[in-house]
Amino acid sequence: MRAPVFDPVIHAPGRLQICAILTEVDQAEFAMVRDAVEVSDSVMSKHVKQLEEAGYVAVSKVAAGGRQRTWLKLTSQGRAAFKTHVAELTRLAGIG
Amino acid sequence: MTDPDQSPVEALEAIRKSREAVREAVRDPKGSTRYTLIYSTLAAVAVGGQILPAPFNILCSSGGAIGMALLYKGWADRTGVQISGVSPKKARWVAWGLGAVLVSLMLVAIWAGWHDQLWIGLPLTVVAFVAAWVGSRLWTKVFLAETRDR
Repeated sequence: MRAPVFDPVIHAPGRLQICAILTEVDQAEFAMVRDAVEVSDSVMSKHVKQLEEAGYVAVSKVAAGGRQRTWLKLTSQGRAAFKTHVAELTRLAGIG
Repeated sequence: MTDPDQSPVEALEAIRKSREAVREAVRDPKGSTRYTLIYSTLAAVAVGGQILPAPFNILCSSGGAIGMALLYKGWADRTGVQISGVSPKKARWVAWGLGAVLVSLMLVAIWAGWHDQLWIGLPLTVVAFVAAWVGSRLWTKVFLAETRDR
């Protein structure tokens, strides 16, 4: 098991929730995550770009029903980073 | 959205709240009964059809598989989430268990077809429908319980 590590890329406002949602699914649609996190399209795009640059999120665009849908997926690196970040939060919170 | 200066306790609470959005999509109160009904019907056709001679048995199994793929895609497009069914851990066992039951029933149907025991077809179809219904509902229940406890 990896040691708890605080990850500033994940911990930033918005990105923590995006990663939390993506850990529960294989993929989630951009609009669904944006609505759940309650941010604008542009803010959401910025977060996704930062997570993508860190290698934590993979983005794929699929044409469906005459429009393009963007799907987000947490990479294995992203899952590992989120897990160790949550472990660190749990340690800092004195839980478990 | 999270506060940049949030405490670890607040951050953990934000994670829990965000995950609720996924749980809500899976709960899908409007679509879950319709999904289960269509899924169970497709499973029943795929199982019961194996008692029929070729090419009808192949049509039933391939039609069932294509129907399930389209059903899954429609659900994913509507809810905005894709969950393969083989995670998390406990829900995975329900998915594998249901798959094993349906494959076993298909093998019984194939055997019955070979031995001209065609009367078995109807009860097998009913059993497959019920198994798929119960399995689908159980998976949802286990998934929701497992993700709630994390």
